[in-house]
Parts: sequence; structure tokens; C-alpha cells
Amino acid sequence: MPLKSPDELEQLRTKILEERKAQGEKKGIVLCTGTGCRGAGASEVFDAFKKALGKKSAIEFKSTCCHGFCERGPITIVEPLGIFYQGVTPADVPQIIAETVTKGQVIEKLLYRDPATGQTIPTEKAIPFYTKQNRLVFGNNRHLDPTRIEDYMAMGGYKALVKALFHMSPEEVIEEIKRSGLRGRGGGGFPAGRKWESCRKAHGDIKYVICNCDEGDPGAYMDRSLMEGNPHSVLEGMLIGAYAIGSSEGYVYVRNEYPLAVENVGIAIEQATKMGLLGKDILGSGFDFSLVINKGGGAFVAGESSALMASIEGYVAEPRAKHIHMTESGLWERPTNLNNVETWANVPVIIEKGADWYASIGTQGSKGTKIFSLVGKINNTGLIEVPMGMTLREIVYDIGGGIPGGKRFKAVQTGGPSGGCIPESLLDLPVDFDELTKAGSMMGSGGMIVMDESTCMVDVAKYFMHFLKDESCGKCTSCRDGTLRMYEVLDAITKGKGKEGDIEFLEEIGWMTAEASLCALGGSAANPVLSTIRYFRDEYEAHISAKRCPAGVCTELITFTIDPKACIACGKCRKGCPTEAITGEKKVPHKIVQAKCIKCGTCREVCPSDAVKVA
Amino acid sequence: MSDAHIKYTADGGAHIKYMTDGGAIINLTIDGKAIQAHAGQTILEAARANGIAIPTLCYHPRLLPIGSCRLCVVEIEGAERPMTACTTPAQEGIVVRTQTERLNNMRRAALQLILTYHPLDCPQCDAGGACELQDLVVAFGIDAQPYHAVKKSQGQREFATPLIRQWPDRCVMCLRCIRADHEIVRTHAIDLIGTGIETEVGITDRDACISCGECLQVCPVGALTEHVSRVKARPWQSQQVTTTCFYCSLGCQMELTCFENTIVRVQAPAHSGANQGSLCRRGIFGYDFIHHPHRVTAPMIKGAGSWKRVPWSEALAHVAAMINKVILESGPDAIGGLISPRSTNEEVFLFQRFMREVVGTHSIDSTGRLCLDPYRQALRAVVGRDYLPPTLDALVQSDCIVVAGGDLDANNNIIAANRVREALWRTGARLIVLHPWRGRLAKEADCWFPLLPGDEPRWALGMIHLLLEHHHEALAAAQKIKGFPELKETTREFTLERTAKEIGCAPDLLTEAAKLLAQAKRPAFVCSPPLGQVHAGVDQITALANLALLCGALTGSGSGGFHWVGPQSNMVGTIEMGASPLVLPGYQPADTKGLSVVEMMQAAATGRLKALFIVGEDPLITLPRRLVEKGLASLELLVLQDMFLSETAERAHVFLPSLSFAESDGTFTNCEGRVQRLRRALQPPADLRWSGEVWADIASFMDKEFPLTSPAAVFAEITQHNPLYTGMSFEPTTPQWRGDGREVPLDKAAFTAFSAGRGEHDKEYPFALSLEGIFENHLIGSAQQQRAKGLAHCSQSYLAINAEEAQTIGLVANGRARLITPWGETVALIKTSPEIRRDALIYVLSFYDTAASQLLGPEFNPQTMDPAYAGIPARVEKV
Repeated sequence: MPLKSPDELEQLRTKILEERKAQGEKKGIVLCTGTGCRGAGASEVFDAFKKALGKKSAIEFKSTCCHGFCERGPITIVEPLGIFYQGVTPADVPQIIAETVTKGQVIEKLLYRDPATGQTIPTEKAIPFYTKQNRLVFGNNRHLDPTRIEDYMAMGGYKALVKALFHMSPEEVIEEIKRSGLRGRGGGGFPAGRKWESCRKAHGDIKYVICNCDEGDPGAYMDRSLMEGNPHSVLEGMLIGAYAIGSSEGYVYVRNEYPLAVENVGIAIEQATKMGLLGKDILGSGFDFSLVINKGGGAFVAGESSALMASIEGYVAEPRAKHIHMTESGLWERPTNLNNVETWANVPVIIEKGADWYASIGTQGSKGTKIFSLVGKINNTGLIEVPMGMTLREIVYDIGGGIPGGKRFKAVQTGGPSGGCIPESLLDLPVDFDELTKAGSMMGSGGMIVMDESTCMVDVAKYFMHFLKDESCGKCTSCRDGTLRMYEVLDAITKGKGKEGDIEFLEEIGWMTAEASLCALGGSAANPVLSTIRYFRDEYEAHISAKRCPAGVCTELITFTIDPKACIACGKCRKGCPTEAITGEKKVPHKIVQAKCIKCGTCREVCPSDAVKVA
Repeated sequence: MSDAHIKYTADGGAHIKYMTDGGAIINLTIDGKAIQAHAGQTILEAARANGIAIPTLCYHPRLLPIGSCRLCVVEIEGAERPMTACTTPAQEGIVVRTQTERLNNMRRAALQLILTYHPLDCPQCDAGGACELQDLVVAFGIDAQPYHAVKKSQGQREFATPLIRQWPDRCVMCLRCIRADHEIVRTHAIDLIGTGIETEVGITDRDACISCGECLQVCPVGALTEHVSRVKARPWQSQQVTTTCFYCSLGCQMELTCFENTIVRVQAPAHSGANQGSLCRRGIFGYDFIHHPHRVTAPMIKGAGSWKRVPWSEALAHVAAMINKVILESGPDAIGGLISPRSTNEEVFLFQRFMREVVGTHSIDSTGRLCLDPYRQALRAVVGRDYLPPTLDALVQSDCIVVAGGDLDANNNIIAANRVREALWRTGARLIVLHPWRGRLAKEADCWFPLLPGDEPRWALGMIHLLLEHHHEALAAAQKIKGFPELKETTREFTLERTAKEIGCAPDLLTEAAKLLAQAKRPAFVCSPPLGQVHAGVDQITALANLALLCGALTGSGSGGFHWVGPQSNMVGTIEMGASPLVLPGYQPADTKGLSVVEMMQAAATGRLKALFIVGEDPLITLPRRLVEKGLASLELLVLQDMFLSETAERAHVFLPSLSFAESDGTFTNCEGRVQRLRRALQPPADLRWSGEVWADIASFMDKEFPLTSPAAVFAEITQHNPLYTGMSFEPTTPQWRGDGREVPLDKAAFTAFSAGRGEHDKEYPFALSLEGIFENHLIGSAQQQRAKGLAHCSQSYLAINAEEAQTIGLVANGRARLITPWGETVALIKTSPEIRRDALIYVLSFYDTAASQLLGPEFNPQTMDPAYAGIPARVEKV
């Protein structure tokens, strides 16, 4: 039965909470089955728990979506103590039940071991990866079964909606969002409140709100994890936004490559509709709002707002000129307010806790927290949520746990494929919208790729340009041809065919691409090139003049040799070599036949004595 | 930016159009020059209007700007990045710079990027010398480009139509072709395929392509080339001659490019004529017949069953002698004349004079009259005018359009259909379509009524009933018009339920259509044959005219107009020049009524008509075949003037070769009343003579006075004798319209009674068949010969039938079926669709179809002497 008033909602919440209270501090198991953990085998662990616990178990077993610490998946937490186990396999399941759940004993081998101290840490709360974070938006994932609206209710879900609908005028909601300083988390960083305001003021009977869940940046999955793990927070944000703007129809545009997100948001919409939180006369307030899911077709550029709307309309996802703002003429030429998943998920937090509280977090120009996907050459890969203004050093070393293998940090690439690379000298840069832009990179959707000394920066630029040249929609000359030309020159440089003037050429064409392109894709496409030239010009020069790749990555510029003094003649490299380019016998230092070597690097990887040298 | 002045609309979510409908004047500065613009104009439009040049490549004035080539970037004070002038609206007080080093560097770089892959095959490219990219490269002084990249050549390939070749390597990705396809024609046959550098213009729906050549016309380079002419020429080697298309009554303005006396290309001049830069496939590709080797270039006399080439003097002396003989033996009324509505005004005027004054007969007719007369008579009754020519521009400004009669897309009136589309999506007009088949235009309609031909009067009665009952207040002006009480009385019984039942449609649809018409401020009606060509054709049009009058579509320049578009270029001029047994030039009533073409054939069969002089007509394929065969067979003399030996030529005794439209000077009057020039673009083959000379010579051989004169002189004569053409010039500098105006004084108008009736279906013939496009064959010869070759590839006649009916009969789509009427039968290619009325058949005729005429019955409408081309009882069988 749909809820007809805020009181009914509160009664339901009280009922849920009382039921839970009555059960007391229940023993429970929380298993993360988010994308990262699934990749590490969480589905099998899930089956093992189900099987071991049976149907009538008194132990509450909950499967949630991403907790963020993906590096260590599959993650299992045993309640009520909050014992944190990492890398759990189906074989560990009986032991966990028997020892930890039942007897409260900790299984040492499954605990997290701090690489810095070498000590094991038994509880989730004490792990540095978590302690440094401020998980306003993302933290609830760990407590929620996303397919159960009751879980969201129990955590105070839809309270913010009630507050907005019954205690605030739309203008007050907008004022609150404006005061909070919330900026769009999709990349542009446009003040959300101002966007809402201009959409509210735009002329038109029908207005739309859209949630952009077309997260296309390689390596970025925060929107995905929010949508999978806590879809109701996004819905609640959209409901509040729609109320403020004066919209009664919304779209959730989600990549079809995110099947779980599609499924979970679908379930959430269905549940919310059943409860009367979506549909006509929501909670008796007179406010109507309905949501439609639109699945994306896979184009990177479809995440651009105007291209996304073209896609919803059934056309090729191609950006259009936006001097008439989407808030005035967007989807089907009607005023449209588009925000991304993370932005929407921030809204209930702001409404519930107040703009002043929210604005106290972060920096002058960037308020609140931001979720980043921390990947690359870093110990603790995963999703992190930190207050704006945290330095890169804290993120990389305190939360990320530093660089694996004791290697040296080289750069961090932020903002997705068209972001820039920030060097070691800027590690103390406070991360917010403006500082990143100043450094020649951008916030983007929050991707962070950490690179160590073994990363070639020219190769990195080439990698991103390869992505961008394929994902340019092909409309603007500057982007379509400019990205390709840059890629071609980078490709030549990495192959030893670089020539005098290439750097200047890249700078010129990069400038042209950035200046002349219509949408943000082209406008930022040159960032990987320009920022690597800016901070790592010497690497470019080494490639071009000395035909040398300092990081030892560009295969055509390097040779592999075996240091006879270091070689222990174990034969591992000889066996591993795919082209049989390594000769040698037992006790005789091995040699690489250069004519046969394809520079795949296998020998270097398998060598136990670090005898394979690259020059 | 003030919203009040800007009206924008988006297509495909990807384009924005700024409509400049006289917005407020704003002031801005471009390159230090203070200029004024209309609010809503883009910076580019404002700059160009003030003589400030900004380079562009993807911009095209007929298309919505997309700002993709990035050449038109300008700096606006206060804006961080350069903006594209083509998409940025001019705003009050802005300061724009179009020429700075930074901008020109960007432009040069963009051009150089485009040039990287662009093959430098200019010497063999069709566009060489007429290429916008070449011009830009010259303008920017680019003599080298720094990028070196190799891309695999894709060569050339067939585009969505065999008439156009695509050279993907040459494409500059301006997307003009795609936009023309999506915005003007709205076929969506082509679109972007792929992403990044792999993006290319691809064919997304080959079947949707209608070969209109719109994409070809807007291509700035040689990425799309026409595939009809084998001869190609550089602009400086060729001459461009602007003339008027000779196919349909829209009179599109076209530019013929001629090289060594051969047409090598046809284009539409921008902003000219009714077509405003568009052409249909016939106009743009249908010219190669002119150069066909089968063209007859000498007069011929038939002797012992075979043709013999003779000198002009011999042929004309023979014709003169034979005419004199018939006059002597049977009197002048035993002679008839038939002239094609694709003849010029000058030719028709001279021919009717020749027939009336030299021969002395009153029997002169044209198939153009068959198309126009039902409309003329209906209008005569309702507004007291013979012809009312609203402009297509009025149509574009309409807010509710009713389309009745033929399918504008299936026939050659695609330009009219495009103007309807323009109204639909630029100004948000509503559309009501009456046609048994839900064709392309009907699919875009708000209300589609699948009416059988002949049901229009009932529909109109029902609509009038609804309007009077529910929207009385909207029709205040109409209540003062004569005949209003009678109209109200007549329509009283045509209630919603009754009408819906009788015409077989949902009552809601009628209510909705009535609402749309009542709300419309500038309603328009667009009618075309076969409307008017059912047995009670005049009633059919009178019914719609009454409705149009009631809702204000017939009241003159403030309305959307009551349009009549026909299949022949000079349909209107032919009648206005007097090629009618009923009226003299300028619609002056004839003292003695002559025989209509159908009556001439009947008279010939019974021996009363002995001789027939046919100019450019092919009655065997346009009129009931058995009637014509019988008539022609009994003639003593059949003179045929044509370019080719047509079907009818086989029955002729004398054949006189004639000029093609491209070799002719003269004028056509289009359906809007524009009087437009045909200009001689090609020298006629040696020895070929203008018809005026031919008839003057015959007259002199007959010992009669007839002036030998030129088209210009004849036009001068027309302006003196035909009151509609008074004061006009043969060489006007601005568009000229025949007189009579467009205003309809309401005191002259009158609601006119009409019959609602329609007979029952014959059980043996359960379908009602309409023929569409039967009058499109003139002047291009018979089926046995290959003519407009390219066009033949994509012009095929077909019979459209409801898919379920086809299945019941056992027919397969794209297979063949036997089509039978009480008078004849033929085998036709089948197209099926679920969206055709079950008891309707539509036979869409292409260029070469000769078999359809045997399906026509001998009965005709006594008011107009039209055979029935629609509502023909028919059945279909498996072959």
C-alpha cells in the first residue's frame, strides 16, 4: 500500500527499526558482492555462505554492493564486532562461521595486514584506508542490501524528502543547495544550485530531471557503485531536485554495460513506486514524479549532457552547441536539469544535515566530499571518499598505502582519459576543482590513476589519446582529426620515429583542439598530452633526441640484457620466453639473443634476482 | 538574451535553429564596425548581412547550423573560448572579432587537419573548380600542410541511390548531406556511422532514399557526385543556364550546366522559385533523355507502314494539304487539336490560335485541363474565381494543413511535401492527411484519414457538422457568407457517428481534426490529382473548398491557401492560354463549345472527327486505351509533334520532331501563378525548328495568314490579349506573378451544394483503385526505348495493397500480381503495407508505364469530361 503521508512513512520506519531492535544485536555476516569483489570471486563466496548457513539460520547474512576497498576483495565483515576479512574464498566460509561468527574468534590469516607496520588489523574501523576517509555518501553502501528499501528506511532514508516536501518551499530547497556550495560531480563542477535555479526559472510547463549514470571513463566506477549499492539515495536526491525545479518526469540514463546498476535502480524504482514515494501525489504532498530508466548504447561521448539527451530522444549521441543552456532547452526542447549520480546522492545529505554543515567540509571553492577511484600502481586500489582539499600525498600514501614494490611515485593522472598528469612535485596539491584545473588536469568524474617510475609518460599520453581518438564523436574537425594527429605523433615518438619539432607540434595542435572544439571531450582531449609535456618534457626529449625510453616501456627503444653477475642461472626466464630468445644452461649465466627478442618483458617479470636490465 | 525574440527548435537533439521572424533590432559590434541585426539572427548571419566575411564549411543557409567545422570561430569579448559564429546568437551590445591571429591560426590548423586525409585528386574530381575546400585553401594561402598520414583509400561507391556516387576519402564531415536528408526531406536514409576518425557518412536505410539529390546539392566538395552524365566539365568550360523544370506544376527553378551542347549537371539556384534550392529526382536526374540517340531529328511521313524521313517543306506541305482536304470534305470541326501541358505558354497560345483561326475548329484540349478543370469548376462555384494561386510560402506559414488527393511523396510533388514538412517542424503546424495509404507524409500527420477516393465529400460534411456544432465561435466570419444557412442545414444529418461509420474511421479522429482546424489561424489545404478525377470529381473538390472557406483557408493572403498542385509543368498556363474546348485565353468563355479530348476520340471512332493534331501528348498511355485506340485507328490524318516516337506515334501519319525544354525559350505558369522563363540552354539538333515556325509554315502552305514570330513576341502578344498577363515582361528581373490577385472578397464567395454520394462496391471488384502519376510520361517517350536512364533505375511502377489482403489473395511482397478492372488488366509489381485501407489499391505509376491506361473505363465526368483515374472498381489475382 502506498504511503499517504509523512506520518505513515515514519510509522513504517519505526516499525522496521523496532523489529530490528527486537532481534537484538544479531550476529551477522556482510559480504560485499560489488563489481570489484565479484571480479575477485565474491559470487562463489556468496553461494558458499548461503549453502553453509541454510535457510533457517539465525545468523543474518547480507550481501551489499561495493565498500570501496576493492583491492582486498572479496570482503567479508562479521558483525557485530566488525571483524574485517579480506580475500575470502569459499574454502574460508566454514571456518568463518565456525570460529568468528559462532565463537568470536579472529582468523589471523584473513585479516588485513598494514604494509607500513606489518601488523594485522582486525576491525574495519581501524584500517587506515577507511580511517582517513569521510564517507558521507558512499559509506552507507556497506550497511545496505540495495534491493531492500527497508534497509534504506532503517538508515533514515527519505527523511530528507519529507523535509523538503513538507517543510521547505522549492525556492528554499534551491537556496539550501546553493548555500551548500555543491558542485556537479560529473566533471564540469558547475554549481548545482544555480543550475536548478535557472531550470526552475526557465519557461515551460514540462521540465525534466535526468540522472547521468553513463560513466565512461576507463577505471572509474564510483557512479556505478553508488547506483548498484545505494540507488535509493539517488532517487531521493532526484525527487528533491524535481520538487525544487518543478519537474514531474525524470530519466535515469545508465550504461547498459552496468547490468547490476540497471537491475538495482529498477528494483528501487519499483519499490519506491509501490510505497508511494514515486508516482502521483507523493506522500500526500500533491507533488508528482515518475522515473524512466534509459539504457545507454556504449558511446563514451554519450555521457556529455547534450549528447545524452540526444540519445534519450533516440538519435545518435552527438553533442550540440549549448549557448542555450539545457536548463532552458534540453530534452525534447524542454527545460532540463541533468546531474550525475554522485551529485544527486549528495542532495539528501545536504537537505537533512543542512547547508552550513555541508559547507564546513571542503575548501573555499569546492565543498563536501568527492569519491575517487584510486587505481594504478598503488597498494590499496579502490573507491575512496575524501573531503575536498585533501592533498594528493594523503590520498596516495595514507589511504592508498603507497606504491607497491617500493617503487618511486611518478605521477597521478586525474579526471579520466582527458585529464592531466600531476607530477611528484605537486604531491601536496590540495585536491579540488580549481586546484586540479590550475595544475593542467581536472576533477572530471574522479578517476585517479597512480603511476610509478616504471611508467613511460609518453606512452601514457599515447594510451589516452588512443582512447580519445576512438571515442570522439567525429563531429568537430578539431577533435576528430586533432586527437588522431596527436595520437599518430605520439605513436611515432614511442617507436623511435620522433623528430625535432614534434613537441611544439603537439603543443600547437593540442591548443587548437582544446580551443576550437565544441564539447568538453574535445575541449579537454589535449590534457594528457599537454600536461605530460608540461611536467615530463625531458622524457619526450629523451624519446625524440636520444631514441631512449627512460622508463623502459617503449619496446622499440629499449633492449633487454641479462647482467651475468646478477644472474643465478635458474632458467626461469629461458622457460618463460615466448620466442626462445634466451640461451643458457644450469650454472651458466643466461643471455638474450637480441635478434629474437620481442621485448615482451616476461624475463624481467619472472627473474627472481633482478638480473634482467632494460636500457 | 531575451527569450521573447528567439524561437528555436531542435531536431534530433542535435541542432538548433534561430528563426528570424522580424525580431527586435539589436546593436552589436563586429570587427570594430557597429552593426544592427534582428534578435534571433546568429553572429554569422548578422556579419554576412553586413558584408563581413567569415569562412565556413559546414554551414549551409538552408540547414540548421551545427558548428562542426570550427572555421567560423570568432572572439567575443568576455567569452573565454572562441565561439562558432554559425551557432551563436547575436546579442545586444556584444563585441565580436572575426579576424585575429589566434582565430586564423585555428582556422588554418582546422583546414590543414581536413587536408591531411583529403585526397588531392582535384584534377579528376567532379567538384574541381567548384569546391568550397579548394576556395578556402586558396583564401588561407595554404601551400603545404604539416601532417603526414596515410589512410587506405576507399575509392568510390554507390550511395543510397545508384544515381549518386560517394567518395568517402573526399568527405570533409560537414554533415550537410545528413542534415539535408534529415531536415529538408526527412527521409533518414543516411546518417553518421562510427566514432572518431572512423566516423563516416553511411547509409542507414537504403529503402528510405528517394533519390531527391538534396544531399548531392549541398555537398561542398566532390564527396558526392552525380552519376547520370558521363561527361564532366570544369565550371570555366561550361555554361550555366537558369531555366524552369518541365516536369510538375511547381515550376522549380533549375540551373543547367552545359558543356559542348550537352547537359552535364542540374542544380537548383539558392532562394529561387517555389523550390528554394531543392529539386526532386526527376528534376535533378531526369535530363539525359534529351541526348538519347533515339531522338527524332527530322520530319517523317508514314508510307506503306514505315516512316520515311522527308524535308520540312514536304512534311508541312503534306500536313497542310491533308488539313485542307478534311476541311473541304467535312468542315473544320472534323479536326481536333491536343497539346501537352508541358508546352510553353507561347506554344499553347499560338497552337490554339492556329487551331481556332487557321483551321477553324473549336476542338482543342490538353490533359492539363483534365487535371485542372475539376478544381477550376469547384472554385468557380465557391469563390467565383477560375484559379486561385496561393504561394507555397503561405503554406509554410500555415499552422494546420490538410493534404488531400495524391501522395505528394509518391508523385513528383515532393517539393510541395517538403514545404509541408517545413511548416510542420519549423513552425509546429498540425497536419491532416486524407489518403488510403499511410505514406511518408501521412506518418508525420496528426490525423490520418484512410479515405477511399470519393469519400472526401462525406468527410467534409462530417467535419463541417462538427465545426458548426462545437466550434461555432471560431467561425464567426464564415456565417455571413452566402449559402451558410443551407450549408448548416445540409450538414445537420452528418453527425459524428454517421460520418465515422460511413467513411470508416474512428470518431475521435474526426473530433481531433475538427479541433485542429478550429484552432488554426492560417489553415491551408493542399490538393492534387487524382482528387477531382473520380466520377463526381467537381463535388469532391467543392466539398473541400466549402470546408476551406468555412475555416478561413480560402480568404486570401492572410490564409494558408487552397493549393492545387498538378503533375505537369504548365498545367495552369495551358488552360490560361486557351487549350480548352470550354474557355478561351484568360478563362473567357468560348462562344461555341468544342470537343474535349474524350469526345474527340469518340467522334473519331464514329467518323465525325477525321484529323487530329497532337503536340507532345501521348493519349494512348494517359487516356482510356480502348477508346483512344479505336479513335486513332479511324483517323484520316494524325499529325504528331514530339521528341520521340511514342506509343501514339505508331498510329500517326506524320511525325514532326520537336524541341526539348532545354532547347526552348518561353514561359511556364506554375501552380502558384508564377510566370517563369524557360531559357535555351542547348542548341537544338540541326534542322529542328520551334513549333511556332512549324505552324506558321503549315498555315502558309494552307494559304492562310499566320504570323511567323518569336517566343518573346508571342509573350508580348499574350500580355496584350490575356488580361491575367497584362503588363508582364519576358525578361523580368524579379519574380512575376500572373494577375488576378489572391484575395477572395467574402461577398463573392458562396457555400455551394455538392453531392455526398458514392456507389456500392461491386462484389466482383472489391477494391477501389487509384492511379497516381499517370500524367508524368509526356515528352520522354515510350516504354520500348531507354530514356532518362539513370532515373529508370529508381523509378518503378508498383501496386500498393494492404498486407493482409495480399496474403489472403496469396500475393507476396515485391512479387507480381494481376490487376483487373472491368475494362482491362495488367500485371504489376506488388508493394504491401499494413497501413493501407483494406479495400483500396494504389497504382503508383512511374515514367514508363504504358499499361495502366487499359484499366480506365470509358465513362467520364459530364462536367469536366474527365475519365475516372481514381475509385476504379478492381480486383487482384495471383499471376
